[in-house]
Amino acid sequence: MEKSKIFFFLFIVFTLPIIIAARPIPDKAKIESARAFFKDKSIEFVVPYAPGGGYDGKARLMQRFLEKYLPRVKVLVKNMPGGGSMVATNQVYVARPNGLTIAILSGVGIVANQIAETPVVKYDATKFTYLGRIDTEKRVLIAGLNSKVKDLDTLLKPTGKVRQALTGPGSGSYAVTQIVLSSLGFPREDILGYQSSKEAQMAVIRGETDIHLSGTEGAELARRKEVRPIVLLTASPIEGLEKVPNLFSKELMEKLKLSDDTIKRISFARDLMSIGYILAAPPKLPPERSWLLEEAIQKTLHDREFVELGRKSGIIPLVEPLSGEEVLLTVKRLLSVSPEIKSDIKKLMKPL
Amino acid sequence: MLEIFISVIEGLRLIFIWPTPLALIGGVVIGLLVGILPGIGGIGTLALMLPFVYKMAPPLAIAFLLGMHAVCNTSGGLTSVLFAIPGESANAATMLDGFPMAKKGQAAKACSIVLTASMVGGIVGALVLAISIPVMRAVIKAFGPPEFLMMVTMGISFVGVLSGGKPFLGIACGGLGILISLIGDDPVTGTIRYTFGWIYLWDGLQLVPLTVGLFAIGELLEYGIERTSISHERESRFKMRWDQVWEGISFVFRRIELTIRCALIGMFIGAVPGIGGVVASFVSYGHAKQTSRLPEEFGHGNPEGVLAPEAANNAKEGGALIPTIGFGIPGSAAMAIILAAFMILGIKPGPEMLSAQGLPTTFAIVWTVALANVLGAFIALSWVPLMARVTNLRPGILVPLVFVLAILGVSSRGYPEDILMALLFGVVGYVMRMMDLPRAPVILGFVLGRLFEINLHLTLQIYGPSFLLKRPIAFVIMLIIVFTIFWEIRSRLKERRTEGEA
Amino acid sequence: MKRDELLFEVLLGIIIIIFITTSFYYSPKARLVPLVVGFISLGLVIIQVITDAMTGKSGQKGEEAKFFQSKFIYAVLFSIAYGSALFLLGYYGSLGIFSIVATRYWFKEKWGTSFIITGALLLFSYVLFVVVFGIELYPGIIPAFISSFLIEE
Repeated sequence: MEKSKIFFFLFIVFTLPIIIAARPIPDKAKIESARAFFKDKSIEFVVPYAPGGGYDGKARLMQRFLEKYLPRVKVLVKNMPGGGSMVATNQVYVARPNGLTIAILSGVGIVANQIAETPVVKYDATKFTYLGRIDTEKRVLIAGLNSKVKDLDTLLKPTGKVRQALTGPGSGSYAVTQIVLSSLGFPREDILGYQSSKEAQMAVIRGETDIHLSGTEGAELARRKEVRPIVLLTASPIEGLEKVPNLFSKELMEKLKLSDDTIKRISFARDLMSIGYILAAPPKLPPERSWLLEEAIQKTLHDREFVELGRKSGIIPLVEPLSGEEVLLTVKRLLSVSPEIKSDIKKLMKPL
Repeated sequence: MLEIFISVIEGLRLIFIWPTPLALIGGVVIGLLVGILPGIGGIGTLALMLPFVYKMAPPLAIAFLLGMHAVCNTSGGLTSVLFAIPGESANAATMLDGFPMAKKGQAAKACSIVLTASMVGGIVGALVLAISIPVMRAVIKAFGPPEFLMMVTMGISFVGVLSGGKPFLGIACGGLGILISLIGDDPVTGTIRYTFGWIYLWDGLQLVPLTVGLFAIGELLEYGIERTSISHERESRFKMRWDQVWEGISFVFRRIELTIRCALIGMFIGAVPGIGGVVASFVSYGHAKQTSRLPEEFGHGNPEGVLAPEAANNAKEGGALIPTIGFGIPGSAAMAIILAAFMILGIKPGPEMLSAQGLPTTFAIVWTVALANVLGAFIALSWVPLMARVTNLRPGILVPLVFVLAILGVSSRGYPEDILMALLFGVVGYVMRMMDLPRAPVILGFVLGRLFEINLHLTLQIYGPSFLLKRPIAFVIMLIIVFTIFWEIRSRLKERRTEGEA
Repeated sequence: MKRDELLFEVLLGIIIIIFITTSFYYSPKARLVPLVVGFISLGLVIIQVITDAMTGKSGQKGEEAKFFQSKFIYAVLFSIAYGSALFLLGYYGSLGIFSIVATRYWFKEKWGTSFIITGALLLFSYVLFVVVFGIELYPGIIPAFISSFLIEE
């Protein structure tokens, strides 16, 4: 096993007790009564997108492990698509804080929308009861095998305009990725209208566009040699692509002699994407109940079988657990972003 | 060549390893049951089955999931014929002629046409899937936004064919369908259009409430208000007429070229990501009408109108598997889930599946689809007598029952607003039905509108307005469109002339 | 029928006009397709309206017109009533009431039969959706309000 993999394996094994020990334990009696409360009840696990997508996959993967760690409790996945995850997020925010509603949410989505002050936002991201993080968002810039972009140098100094396949204009993901790419300064032509990342990837394979900044499926395509990986935007290693330059690494940012302003923007994107796929519950959940939920969630994320299944299926290539407390801290830090970046995000999240 | 032959046999063998055949039968039965209920379909059940898949061996899981999915359009056609409720949106076209046939006392014949056509269509789909394996990837790569644009336009051009007596109004209804499909967020600019602030509409109108409302609830309102029973126009109560069943089966085989043509249309359309079974069935229906010797009969019980959509919608499943297997790009929402299941099982789509090691599994998939269709047809046939007797029930029992099924069908997302939409379109559907106005163009426009806009903008951005000169396949498809429209106008003018002379 | 058809066509035209005018609030790219489709459809509707108005019969017989209109009104009333019941009473409540009222008064079934049919349908819905699929059927505003007092926090 390569070094980074060994490191991460140890990281997972050792962080579990740390995460559990570090959380303040409400008194024993309260926990017992909370356990009694959950018995024979069903927890609604809200997914903000339709069945079949990445979020849905993660939720359903977790479902039976959660049931394993919460004996005699049923966990039901409920899909609540709409408004680019805003419908579900708003709903979960106002749901009854009794512990029977949890959700998987998009860190980038909820924070970006709040920063941009989009009118549909009816929540305050600092008030959710965060129960942990599953993994971070990662991006891989892929290029077609016959494209003019062959590596980082030909990307930054191309022979002509670089055509990018884009999805979801006006969304949080769009804003975050565009901030990073714009700060690199290469001449770009944006092609908008692809309905999903898969279609955009297909466009790259077909050669109708040069590049696409894709999620981890892009990594899969790169591993299969259907496309070329040019640069990564990730805080943690991606299997098979360890040799690909990573924009989020300090070394690369220094090597490219990026301006301070640019570095600030890229760091912002890195922090935002590091919130990743998070688990949350409505605000003001009684601490003993959130403790129990978080315990079950953290146990799931550290479960050997779960990690293996996630990796094999590609649904969760690398489990990167974080405690709910730390998610909250990151969210708070991100919401107090500088006014320049704030106005950039606002502009990018407006319709074109 | 020999390798391929061996893989084909190996694929078949994989399915017969016990208990895989059991999984196949189980999947088929569940798929048939699920297909009957409108709206509750493939997708919800597939998603539900995913956790079970984790524990199964690959051939078992493939047999189960694909077995279930391959037949979801088979049983839906039966409810279209008997109750005018399309089991799946793709079965809506079947209702146009299937239900009138039932009213004329030919329900058994219509049902057996549904099942036989579905079976043959499904098998053709599987066959073409198998044949296309060597060229699959090259073909998918050759089809991009300009080709999709032309295919979508071709679909839209059928709006005229499906317009019945008032072509101008029909086309305008198609235009309305396109306009309402644009409600919600626009993938090209991110603008949220025509929602007037209602966040429910952000993702646009949903197909299921629209089809169930326009077709099923429209019919229900008629029964309810007229207090009739379905069999009121029939001479006798339904009795299982096995001679009619035989008539139906032989009809499909006597018109085998039509059946195969419609299956091919279904496959072709199914292979385009984003276009669903609805388009395949309506375009196929339109094609059958255009090439029929009795086009006036369409809408009043012409069996060809039942054969065409059913052959197409089953073949479409085979078509949707092409991009899914070839590149891992799901051809439909249901395929996305099946793809997720494949990944979990360690089946990686793409060149691996088409390589020497992967071929047996790929052929196992093909065989599953083919066998599931055959099994499905036979099992469903045994249900027809029972289902058809239900139509004899008094309206007092039947109407609430069918109404509940319709409402349940629309509730699968769990949003009550969907039910409201269905009711709204139910009233519209009722009105249109009473005035004998064509509803098919609305659905066709709705399903194709968004895709038309998206592919138009992508094509213009990438290739510019002269794209037809740069993309030969798109050009060829355009010629087909021009020809179709020209042919339709010509036949209508001919009709007018003969009417005038008579 | 002709007069009602004309009415439908005019209504269709109005809806298309609403789409067209709303489109002007959006950017050029976002309004391209809607405007093209809208104008073409509007044109066709206008042609149809003019053709019908000129060649149509002078109007329909009073009886037929009344019958048609009353059916339409029934349909609309039913939808509004059911829709409101759905929101207020939820899936079970609205279906329950409608089923009983419809089977008893409209279809003239006996009380017993009405209750049995309704009960069976509600049970079927519950088993299929809540037990098998795990999808909750809309509870409705009033029941949700009541149950918020009953369910322990």
